[in-house]
Amino acid sequence: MSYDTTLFAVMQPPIGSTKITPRFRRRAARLDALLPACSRGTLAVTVVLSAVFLLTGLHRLNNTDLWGHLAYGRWMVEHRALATADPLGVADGVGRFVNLPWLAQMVGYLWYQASGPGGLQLGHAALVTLTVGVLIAAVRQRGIGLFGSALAGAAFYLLALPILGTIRPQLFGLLGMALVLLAWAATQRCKRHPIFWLPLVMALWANLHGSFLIGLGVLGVATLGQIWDVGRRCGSIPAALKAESVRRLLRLSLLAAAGTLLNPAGPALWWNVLLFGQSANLADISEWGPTTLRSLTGALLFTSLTITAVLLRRSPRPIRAAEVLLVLGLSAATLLSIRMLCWWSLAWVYLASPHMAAIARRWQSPDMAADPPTAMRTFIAMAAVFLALVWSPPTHEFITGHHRSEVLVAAADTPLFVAEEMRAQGLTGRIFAPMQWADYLAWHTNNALKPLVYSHVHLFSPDTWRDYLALGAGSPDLEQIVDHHTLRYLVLPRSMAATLAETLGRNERFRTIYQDQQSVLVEVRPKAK
Amino acid sequence: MHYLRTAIPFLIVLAACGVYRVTQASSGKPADVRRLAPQKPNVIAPRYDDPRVATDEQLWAIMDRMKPTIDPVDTNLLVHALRLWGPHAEFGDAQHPSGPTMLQYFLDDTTFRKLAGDKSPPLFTPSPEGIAVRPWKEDSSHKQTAAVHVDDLLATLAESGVPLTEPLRMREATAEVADLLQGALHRFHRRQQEYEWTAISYSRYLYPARRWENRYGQPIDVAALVDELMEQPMPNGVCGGAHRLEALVVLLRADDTHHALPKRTRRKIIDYLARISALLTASQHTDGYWNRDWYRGSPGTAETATAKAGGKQDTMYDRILTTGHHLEWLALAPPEVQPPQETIVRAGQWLARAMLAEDAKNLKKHYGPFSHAARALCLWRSRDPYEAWKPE
Repeated sequence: MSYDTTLFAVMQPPIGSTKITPRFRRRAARLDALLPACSRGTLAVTVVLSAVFLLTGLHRLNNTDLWGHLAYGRWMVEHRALATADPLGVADGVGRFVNLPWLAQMVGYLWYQASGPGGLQLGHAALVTLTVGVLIAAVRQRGIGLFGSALAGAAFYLLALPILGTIRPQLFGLLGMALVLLAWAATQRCKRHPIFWLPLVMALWANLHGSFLIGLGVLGVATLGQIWDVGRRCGSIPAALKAESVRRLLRLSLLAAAGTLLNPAGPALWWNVLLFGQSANLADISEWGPTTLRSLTGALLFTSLTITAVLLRRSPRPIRAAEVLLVLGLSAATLLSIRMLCWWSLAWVYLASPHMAAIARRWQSPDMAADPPTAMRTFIAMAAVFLALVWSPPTHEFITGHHRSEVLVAAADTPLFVAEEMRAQGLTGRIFAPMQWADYLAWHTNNALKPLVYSHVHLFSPDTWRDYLALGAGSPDLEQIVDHHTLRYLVLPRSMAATLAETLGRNERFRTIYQDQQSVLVEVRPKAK
Repeated sequence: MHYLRTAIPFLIVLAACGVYRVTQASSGKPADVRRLAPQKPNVIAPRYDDPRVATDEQLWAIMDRMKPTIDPVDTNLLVHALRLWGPHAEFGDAQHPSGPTMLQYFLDDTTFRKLAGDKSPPLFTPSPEGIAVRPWKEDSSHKQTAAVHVDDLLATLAESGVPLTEPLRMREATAEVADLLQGALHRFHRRQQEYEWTAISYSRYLYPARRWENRYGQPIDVAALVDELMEQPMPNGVCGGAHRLEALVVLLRADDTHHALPKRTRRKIIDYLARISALLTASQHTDGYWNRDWYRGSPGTAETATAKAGGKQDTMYDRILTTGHHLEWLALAPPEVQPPQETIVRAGQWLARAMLAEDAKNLKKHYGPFSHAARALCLWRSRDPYEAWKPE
């Protein structure tokens, strides 16, 4: 037997085994002398975080609303002011313009300026890895071993995969939520430090993304649940309010709420966030739609709900009121809106882990419980980190110094070449483009192109939104809509161009001026007088 | 001491990253095109001579009808004429531009202006991205003198044996053909609408160099180029996709000299061309021609072809265009991808008769597509077109 080809044997050499040769012992001793020992749990955490970093780093920059947010950030940095109206200058919606994630946009733009598109990819991977790391710490605070906590982190990553692959300001919110869970868990263990850092986290979160209300909601539910549980034990709610465990959570929640008031809009921000979802246009956006079993999101949600049902039945741990409230509330919210999956995933892993660990303990062998640290595990952990660094494209770029351009980092569907052509030709004015392209076109041409609609759909009036949908569907009223909005160019994906080919072909005012395998650029000529 | 020991794993990972950086330093950006390319283009000679495809008399008569004209000057006609007749053709009268004149039309702006007129904007202009070619635009009053296809002028210079060091005298600057190649490769990307002539230019000028980088920072290698040529379904591409097939064959033939293609890539190309060849055998009309429906693998009728072509007619023009283009790439293709020789002979004879029967006005109107037919017949006889026509 060669010791270095049998991993299990290396990690856990059976004591007194005749298969262990003196040569093996000498090598193992040398490794032990060189490297510090590492436990099974630390190795698991290292491997999970390395895998999360690597897998997230493989995602290209999705062209959802990233480029629109960067364009906002660019405008604010260049004007040295916060945006009080649509920086792209095309929104026609009624009501006050409120730019919730202004800090994320500015940080994103400044980071892009400093590190390029590869830097954004690096930021994405780092942010997701940090979130998983904080979640692991939060689960660990609930009394679960490192190995179990690492598994919990991996479970979160798998559950939230449909959402974690896209870089957006929301990722800051996920980190904020993980920190809220960590603060909750630490407070439960009578730790005082969250009182000092959580309000600061909430203040930042309120300026980075509108999801801070979910964090506050979780803290509020945790407090209410604690009041209920203590109240049941003491026999009265007023008595529960005097309990130290309740007071700690209450103090934490109030300070966290106070922290969110530190933003340019002040207390009005809460109201603005609550009103955000009121735009009727959002009903046509898939991520705001309800979860169905047929989708990946639905499959993940229903799988986790099924596991929850098993846990409720099998767990030897008492079920807390806050756990019930959060599971009911967040699962209902996710059923109503796909985009809630990431919040559900975080909370679910945090809530379910202690119950899973309690069930798992029944089957745990004594050997596994008493598992001494080894230097070989340190070596494997080092290998995992090294491989993650050199295989992950953004760190590979950093390590080797081989700069990658936007073409190599942006998602394949990004309209890179037509955008470059429009910039090279100096085209300006109003355009029609699919929403997922519009942000990039505006970003790449430094806002010279003004899309009819872009990803911030809540900024547009229902009439404009209707016209946008009609154009995309190949409406016979194409010419009237184009003239009504004074559109100068249509940037069409190939499939859409095929749908519109007949309408466009019949009318001499529409002329193709550029095409590639992805897109067709149509110029709209002025109406003959 | 304890802290130092804890730091050891981090230091080792850091050191390993440093070593990795050193090992990757040499695999940075690919070298400049000028340094990669040989000075003279790869020569792709015809490889078959079957008099049953077209007789000497037929060739002479067809070539006699295909003499180029400059009334009015048309860049697309001249690029096809140069490709057909070569840079040494002489016709002995002013009505038909000679090979050297046609070549200088592209290489020297003075000749270009002499033929196209002083008001005609230049064909080539320097730009930060390399030399740019004036493209055809529908509403331009000078569209007759513009380049119709992306990089077709460059590919024609390569086919005409023009070395990369040949001076390119533009209106306000002088460069070399290498600069034109540099610009083409620099601009090329994998979403490009027309990429056939860029691929041909690469195969003739740059091959066996296997990699370059475009202006978007994308590394383009020969495998990516081959995928691009084969990924799109037929008949996508110019002339029903025939130039994609031509580009593949040119690459294969260039590789016959250099043997630099990975075996798997070479096999992939041959298998693909063999499948196309089988489609052609199955779709050949009993008269010998192919129409625009060839890729469906059955001969069909004129009516079905018209209907499937979205109302466009299955005309004699379509048949000559399709048959001529396919015979042209097949004439250069290796034996293992050839259809039965009977298929070639029937197609050749149909094409020769059609070219002789075609109205002279149509020949001039569709000079570009028809020049492929004439060239194809000459290639199948391994005859230089000018030599096939040249008076004794």
